[in-house]
Amino acid sequence: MKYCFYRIASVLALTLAVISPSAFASFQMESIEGLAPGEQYRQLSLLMLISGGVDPGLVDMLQPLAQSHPEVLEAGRSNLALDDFSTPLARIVDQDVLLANAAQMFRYARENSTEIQARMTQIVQANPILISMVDVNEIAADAIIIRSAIADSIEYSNAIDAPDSAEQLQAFRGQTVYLRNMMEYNIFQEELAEITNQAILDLGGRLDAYQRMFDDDVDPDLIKRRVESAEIMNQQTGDRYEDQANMRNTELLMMLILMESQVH
Amino acid sequence: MPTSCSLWNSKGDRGQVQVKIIFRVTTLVLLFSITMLLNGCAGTARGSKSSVYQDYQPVEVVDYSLSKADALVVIRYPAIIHADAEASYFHAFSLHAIGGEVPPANRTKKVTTRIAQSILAKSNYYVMSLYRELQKELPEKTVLLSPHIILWDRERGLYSRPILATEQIPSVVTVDFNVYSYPDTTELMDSPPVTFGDLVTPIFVVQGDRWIQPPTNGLLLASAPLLQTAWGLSEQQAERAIERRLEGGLVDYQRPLDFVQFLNRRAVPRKNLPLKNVGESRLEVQSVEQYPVEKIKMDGLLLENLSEDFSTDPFAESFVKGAAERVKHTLNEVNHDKATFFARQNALARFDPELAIAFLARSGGEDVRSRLQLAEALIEAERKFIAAQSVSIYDGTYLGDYGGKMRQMIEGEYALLENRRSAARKANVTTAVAALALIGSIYAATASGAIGGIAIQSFSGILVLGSLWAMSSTLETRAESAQMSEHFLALIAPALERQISVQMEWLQSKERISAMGFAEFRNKTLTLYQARVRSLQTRYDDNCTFRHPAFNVSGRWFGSCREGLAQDRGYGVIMDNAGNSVEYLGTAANGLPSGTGGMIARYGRETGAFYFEGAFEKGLPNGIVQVEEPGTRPRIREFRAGKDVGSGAAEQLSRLTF
Repeated sequence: MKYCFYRIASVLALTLAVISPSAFASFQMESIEGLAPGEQYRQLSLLMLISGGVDPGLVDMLQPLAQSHPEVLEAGRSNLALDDFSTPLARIVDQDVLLANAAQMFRYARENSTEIQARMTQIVQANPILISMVDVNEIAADAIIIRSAIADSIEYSNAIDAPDSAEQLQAFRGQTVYLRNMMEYNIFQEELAEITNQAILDLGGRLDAYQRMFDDDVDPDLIKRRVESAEIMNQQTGDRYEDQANMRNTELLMMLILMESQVH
Repeated sequence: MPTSCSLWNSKGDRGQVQVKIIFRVTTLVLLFSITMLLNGCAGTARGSKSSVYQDYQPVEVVDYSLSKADALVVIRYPAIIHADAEASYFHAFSLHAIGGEVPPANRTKKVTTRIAQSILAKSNYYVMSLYRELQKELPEKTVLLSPHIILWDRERGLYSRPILATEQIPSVVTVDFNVYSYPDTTELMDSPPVTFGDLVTPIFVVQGDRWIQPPTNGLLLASAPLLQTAWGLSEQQAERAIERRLEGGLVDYQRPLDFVQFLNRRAVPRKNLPLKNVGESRLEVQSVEQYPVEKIKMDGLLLENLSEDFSTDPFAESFVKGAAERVKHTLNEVNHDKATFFARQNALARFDPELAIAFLARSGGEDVRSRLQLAEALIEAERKFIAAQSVSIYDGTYLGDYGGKMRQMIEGEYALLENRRSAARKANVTTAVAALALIGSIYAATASGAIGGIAIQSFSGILVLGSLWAMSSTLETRAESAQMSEHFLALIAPALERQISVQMEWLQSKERISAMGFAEFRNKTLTLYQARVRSLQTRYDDNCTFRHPAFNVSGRWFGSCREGLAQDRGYGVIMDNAGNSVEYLGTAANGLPSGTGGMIARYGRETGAFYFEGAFEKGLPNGIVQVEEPGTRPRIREFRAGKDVGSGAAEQLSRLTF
């Protein structure tokens, strides 16, 4: 719970900080051009994770709301930035507008999926250092909050009265839980990898120390191997940022692929 | 008493001619016998240049398994021996010899003790070739070493247990490996197995979980002399697992090394074991592949300068590459998820019993999937940790001082054998006599510490053993032998002694350090797991009633239940007093197997087990079912209420997913 509050607070703070007319839910690529590459990447990733695995039936279910709010396609007050979705105002006062925006967002993401992913790859290749620092789990956490806001809004809107809507909503919530679990798994994996690597290093050190007690001379082969390892590590450091950036992008794409392929 | 000659002489000239003929025939027979004997012994000296596994075509291993937690191969080998077990080990070694029977008088010789020790020392070295080759070919960190310590206690006799936690990691197959030498050097002319110089006799067993090949209880391959023992152990392992499941406890059976069990006591011979010979054509047959005892002769060119240049491993070239290919073929033939299913379940049960039961139910729920993902990551981390330990053992053993000294020794042994062979040729002595006498003298000398004297004594012993040998020996060769032995031992033996003791200490310390390291590591990872894990939404039971029409008793069901009876997915087990048992993984209704599943049936009086996979109803196969029986290929059959009514269509078979 504490973690959840922290995330909501972060998203709210971010929303206040990034009040930009270019981050509207109409999501034209041109509208985010002016943003820093890192923020562009974050917005696109967020868009993809929010829309990932959404059944076309759910989009159809929300379509009447989108039609009753044609202003969502126009620049103005009714348009929501991605981060606005979780604000209390949007959730409590203007749920229909929130859902109309969500419908538009889902449709846009579905229709422009290839273009969005190509743009993300382009950003990764052009800015490896910047993207290597992106925390995919943080984006996933934001996506979870927004998806939950949308799901809660559906529950209190008239859209829930449509046939099969309860199942559609359950599937959408199920995918959100799946996304949360993937995010938690990633965090767990990182912490586990840290413990494992440290334990392996400790083990090597202890055994090395013990082994040295039996060695009359210093083992030149061992030293040579260590030196070679250090050289390799130095060489790898240069490539690291690019690798990490690609890894972050892969993680994100993997989340999307898994969400899309999840069978309910 | 008249001799035959005098009897024939009394018959006159005709008799004399007959005597000559008989004499000639006798001479020919004798010569023939000598030739045969020499051939036999020459075989000892020469060995076979390539293994029966050399014909295996290289294959890429494709791992389709869903789980990342499991290892592909665990290699077990005898690494060290506890002081309390030494006497029993030496005694058992001379008593249960491979390739012959050691006369009681020769069982207590120091030379036998030394050979027994050399098996441990050389197994430690040669096993690394197999490890390196498999590690090179298979995905990273999927090949693990499991060194064993040999122990003794009054109740169990001689047994072994693993030093590391390797065998707690689920693995597709487990390979037991060691090298072997016949205990009695005085019998070496009978061409028994030897590991000396360029000659190596590998012994190995390949086995897995009983579900990997149910008809043989998971036993896939065994060196011929170990077959009965390995069979007995696999059978025992399966029975213990069923008993523990019925009790609802963890399966905690630790299989000793098959070789150590072989030494400990003779297995009760089982008749009609489903066996097959080495060969690709019969791989599908549900039998145990018999690996003959092979005395491999490594390439001499690679041994001449082994201590300096070991970039090409002679043992790998002559045996290990072929054996590794054989193991890789097995890995491609079996379903990895099926092979490790129960081992993974057991590993989960150690730290998350609730999840372990849900795992048996093969629940598709997101709550189980996500928790299982974390748990499997934990096992995967342990595998990586143990993989690092294995690399460290390899470094310490093969690349370290120990490996260096072993290579020096093998190179020295080979040089001696070659000198001896050469000297023997010069002196018109058979290669066999020369080589075998040498092996005896070396072992005897290293055993006693009084190098020269014992070497000659033992050498003489071999020569004296048969007058035929004595006739063809010369003083010159004897002297050369003694001199060479002395020279060799003076150079190598003290260093080897020290290296072996260092290796022992190193491995023992490794056990301690690793145990500490592993306990700390496991503690940390479990703390992390417990902090992150979410509760399961569905409840699964571990003690519902499972039934089968052929049993009067009730069994135990793990998984979904309704009113105390097995219902929907899960695992059931049932056993009666006669030793008949049924294991079933799949769906059930009203306590009975119903729907898609896999069933292993064991009958107390039958050898092996029977496996049925496909459609069941009211506990019996009903529909299209794959049948696996000992000694046959798997068949697709159609059943009606448990009765086989003919062949079935493979495309209609409903397979069990693990």
